[in-house]
Amino acid sequence: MATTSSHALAPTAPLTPSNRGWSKPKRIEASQWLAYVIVGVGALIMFAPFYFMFVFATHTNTGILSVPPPLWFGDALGENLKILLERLPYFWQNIGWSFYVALATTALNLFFCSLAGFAFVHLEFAGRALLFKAIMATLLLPTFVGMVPTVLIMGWFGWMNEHRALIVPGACGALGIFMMRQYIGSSVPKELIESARLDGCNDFTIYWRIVLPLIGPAMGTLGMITFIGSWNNFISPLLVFRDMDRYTVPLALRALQGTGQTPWGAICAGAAIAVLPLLALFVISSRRLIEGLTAGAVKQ
Amino acid sequence: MAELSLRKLRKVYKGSADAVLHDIDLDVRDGEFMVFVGPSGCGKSTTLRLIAGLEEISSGDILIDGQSVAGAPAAERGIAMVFQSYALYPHMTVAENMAFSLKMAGESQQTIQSKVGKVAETLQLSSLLDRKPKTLSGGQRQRVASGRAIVRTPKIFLFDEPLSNLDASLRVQMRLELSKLHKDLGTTMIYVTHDQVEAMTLGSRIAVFNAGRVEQIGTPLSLFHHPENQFVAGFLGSPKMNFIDCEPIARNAGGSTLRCGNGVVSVNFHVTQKCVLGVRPEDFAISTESVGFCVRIDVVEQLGDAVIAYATPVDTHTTIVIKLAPPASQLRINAMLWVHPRPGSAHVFTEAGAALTQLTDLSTERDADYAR
Repeated sequence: MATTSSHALAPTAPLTPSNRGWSKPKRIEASQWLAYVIVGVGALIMFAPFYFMFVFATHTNTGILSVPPPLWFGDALGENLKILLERLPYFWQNIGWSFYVALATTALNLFFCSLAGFAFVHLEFAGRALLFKAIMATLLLPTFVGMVPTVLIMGWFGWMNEHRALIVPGACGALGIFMMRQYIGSSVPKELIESARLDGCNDFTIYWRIVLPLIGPAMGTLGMITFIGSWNNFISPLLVFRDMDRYTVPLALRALQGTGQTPWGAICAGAAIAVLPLLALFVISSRRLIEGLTAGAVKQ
Repeated sequence: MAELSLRKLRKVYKGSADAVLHDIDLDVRDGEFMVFVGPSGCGKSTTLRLIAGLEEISSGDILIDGQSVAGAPAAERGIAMVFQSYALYPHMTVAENMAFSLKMAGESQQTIQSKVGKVAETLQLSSLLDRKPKTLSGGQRQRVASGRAIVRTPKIFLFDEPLSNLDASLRVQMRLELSKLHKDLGTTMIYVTHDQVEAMTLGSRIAVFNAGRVEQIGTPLSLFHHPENQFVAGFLGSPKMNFIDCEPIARNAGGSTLRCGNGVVSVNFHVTQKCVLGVRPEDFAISTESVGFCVRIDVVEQLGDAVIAYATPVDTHTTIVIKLAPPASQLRINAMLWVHPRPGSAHVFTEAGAALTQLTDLSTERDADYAR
């Protein structure tokens, strides 16, 4: 039988965090603590409205307006949904319209912005730099400045109370063009374009067959930004629509206010339903969104 | 296969007063492997891009088989180009990359498959057809880029430094493959490089570019042995040719005697003005007597097949490079030696750089023989 005598063993070093296989926790400096606290408070401030929207969706008006307000979920969700659908008979249709407008705006915005971005990077034409500066200058204008002229133009076209009055003005934007120009400039080499030209492609074929498949991350980012912006858009539908059955969701929820007692629980339930698609979209593709937002920031 | 002619080709970029190409006249023969070589920014790649139709010419003409193509779109010139970065479409497989131009030309699926398959077999790419470019090695990507060009059966191939992204051993291998490819296809090829070894080994003829001008066109050996100017002499050869300022100090019936730094050489023709003596490092020999240049060895590099020494002629601040076959035991740091150009190997240039002549029987004289 094999035995092991203790004196035959090599002397062992005392156990320290490093030779135990784990490292000593890193000391956090005071400045880092401060940064964490600021970020934490910021996150709390941003997260609180979301949380209370879901909490209030499960409480009646009495509970919501009590002091202190409820901090945890209640049992009035069914009741609130019932009020919501009674007061907004077109609610599901409104959600459908929101999807339609957001999807159409996003698709057109992606197409036109990427096309413009490609042109600004890879095509030579007179006034290219000036035109780009002019487009960028529009970013300096507050959104509301363009609102009245846009509504007037839609009126001249006879598009009032129609969804295309939201889709067409949102089909291309300076921010999207800027994003696409930056991304295409940094991720689609000139040689690929030249190679495609030698292979017999015209400008549009180069865009469609070469550029478009290579700008997925930027398209994803811009797509999400546009979709979220369009989904949450309140002012433009307010100016364009007259009939409730054509409303988008934000406008429809606003319609719950102002007729007698405001059903806050129902509004929060409606808002919670309306925000779910965006949350799902964000959770699925947040990584890509961040990738896209930082694209071109550093040399890879 | 096709002939290419450049006539007074000039390129001035918008917003710039200076031309990057100055009236280039050049003929590339049918089936020839022409290499454009020169330092960075000399205009060789610009010339290639003008030929390809990727940039517009400012004036002059480009003729393919006698027909002007200066105004024709790139795709209609019958030219295929292999880029330095290979420019493979990253979202397409190897097969799709190779088939793309045929697809754009409206070829049938059957024709595309047949042509791609045949070229892939020739370039040993058959097993890689379903792979994306990012999964390929540098050499494989280079072959795919070549295959993509071959599949179009162009009249002229253009190569823009296609081997510069490869490591040294792969570059040698790919150089051989390109050479074989030219032999097999017999198509006119124009190859741009700044690597003189590639130029010397691949080219049927070489055009040496400098500052937007063609300095000299000729076969590799003719350029090496008979450079028309100091730039060509200095550009070809590694290590580069030594240039030593000289002045005539005596004239005799057979020629002139020149003082070159601390050395004295005689030439078999009359020199009446200051000039520059050009000697390739490998054309120096160690003198057994006190003739030629007295030098102190500063640095010695043992390359295995050669020994290179960097030496300073005494009483000067210049450096000359000497390359000898091993063992060259005399080449030791701080050793003082006499070296002289081998007869018939040195060149003389005017101060402006034009070749006066290559010396046919250059002789060196004992320093003591020279009456100071």
